[in-house]
Amino acid sequence: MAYLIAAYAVSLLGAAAYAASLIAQRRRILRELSGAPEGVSGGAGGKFQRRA
Amino acid sequence: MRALLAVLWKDLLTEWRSRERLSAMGVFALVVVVILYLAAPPPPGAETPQARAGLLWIAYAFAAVLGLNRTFALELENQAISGLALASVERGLLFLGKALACFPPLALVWAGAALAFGLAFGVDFRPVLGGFALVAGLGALGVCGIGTLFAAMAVRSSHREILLPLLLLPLLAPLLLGCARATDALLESGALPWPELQLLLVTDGVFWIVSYLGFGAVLDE
Amino acid sequence: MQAIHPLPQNDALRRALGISGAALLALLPLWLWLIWRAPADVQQGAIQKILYLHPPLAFGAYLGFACTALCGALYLWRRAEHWDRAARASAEVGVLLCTLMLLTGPIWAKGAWGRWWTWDLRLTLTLLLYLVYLSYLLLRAFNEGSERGARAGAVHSIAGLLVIPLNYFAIDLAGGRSMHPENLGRGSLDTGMGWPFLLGNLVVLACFAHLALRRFELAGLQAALARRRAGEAPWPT
Repeated sequence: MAYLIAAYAVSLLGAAAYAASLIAQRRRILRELSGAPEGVSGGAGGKFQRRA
Repeated sequence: MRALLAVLWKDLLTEWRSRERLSAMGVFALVVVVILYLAAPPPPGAETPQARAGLLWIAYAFAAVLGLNRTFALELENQAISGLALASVERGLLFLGKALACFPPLALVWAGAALAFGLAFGVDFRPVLGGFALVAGLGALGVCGIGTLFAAMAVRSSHREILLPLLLLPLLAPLLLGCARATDALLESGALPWPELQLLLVTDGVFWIVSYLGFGAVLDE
Repeated sequence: MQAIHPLPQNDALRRALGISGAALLALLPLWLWLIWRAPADVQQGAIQKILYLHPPLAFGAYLGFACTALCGALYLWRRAEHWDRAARASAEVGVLLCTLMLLTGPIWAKGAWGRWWTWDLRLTLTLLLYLVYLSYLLLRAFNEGSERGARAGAVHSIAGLLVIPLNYFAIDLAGGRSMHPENLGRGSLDTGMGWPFLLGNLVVLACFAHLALRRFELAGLQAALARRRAGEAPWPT
């Protein structure tokens, strides 16, 4: 029974971890493409302007 | 056809003049045989060395990969590979020229390695020389075919010395398995096993067709 | 937040992602419930229920590698970048599923045969196939973003696919007596075992489609980012 649960857990977790990494990378790239500076998100249109 | 012969002649001539690849492969094959001897010495007084034929094919495969790494090295140095790629010649003919030019040096090195292997491990190839030459020849033919394709593929990439064996060796599996088993059977019974020969023939055919068709795709600029 | 169009064919991709994701979410609990309800095997007991996971994963891995070769061939023919991205995405997800298959296999083997691994026909071949496509990913990683790497990868994936039947023959010759059962035929599954098995295949299929599409989208985004960093428009408008 332990083997059985281990097999299913490994598979589900493996696939989920891969999906999570894909989603995280997607968000990071989208944020960079939309022009927001590193480490900043949200705001109108996702944009912040640097003070002159 | 003229292009094929031109490429073949050019490669054989440069190889003959420098004997660079030949000597490197030859020495390397010897080194591998010696290492194998040290790592897996034949038990003293053993009557049946035939189970060790597989070891010979390890030496063969490594020496071949080393030599194939150099297949396009000369072309790369002088940017001649671009000229080759831009030549208005059918890609398949270029492939045939390059691949056939690989064959003689490889066959020579393998023959030398067989000699060294025979001495080290006490394997006598003389009674089965014809059959063994056929098996090794078929093996070398397949290695030259797919090896030329993969050498062309790896030559421009970074880490090509790592990449070529990594890409090539798994694909050589059917060839090596067939050759090793055929050699075993030869040494044991003196007769050529037909299923293994079939495998070698089919594998050679598939490798050459794939490489002939695929060469254009990997060479194009 | 302003809508961002990651790719020109954004809408179709989004729809496909939605459909495959919804299918996955709908089928997954049903599948797990059916496995729970499935009868225990006479000989192996509970551990036999890995059957509903392990062969479907193998199916997904083979599907991934076949897709890689197919998209590679289409790339060589059409020379359109998105075919290469699709090939790479399928290879990556194929390798993932193959990894999971190679992990669940030994777990089952340990439970059923008492040992983690045997060097038999099916196992050796799968391992070799895994290595072929792992080296495909390495080849692509070493030639990041180059068109030549894409072509080389396409040729390699096609050659790798052709070697599978040869290897089958080769290893068969070596006379691997197989512990691993051959393909399931009709009637090899008792009542109550067929549905979870079928559903397992569907779940893996949906999972493969969803992950590969996500990876495909990400590859498009990465290319857009690279163009943007080079000072070009990220995507044609």
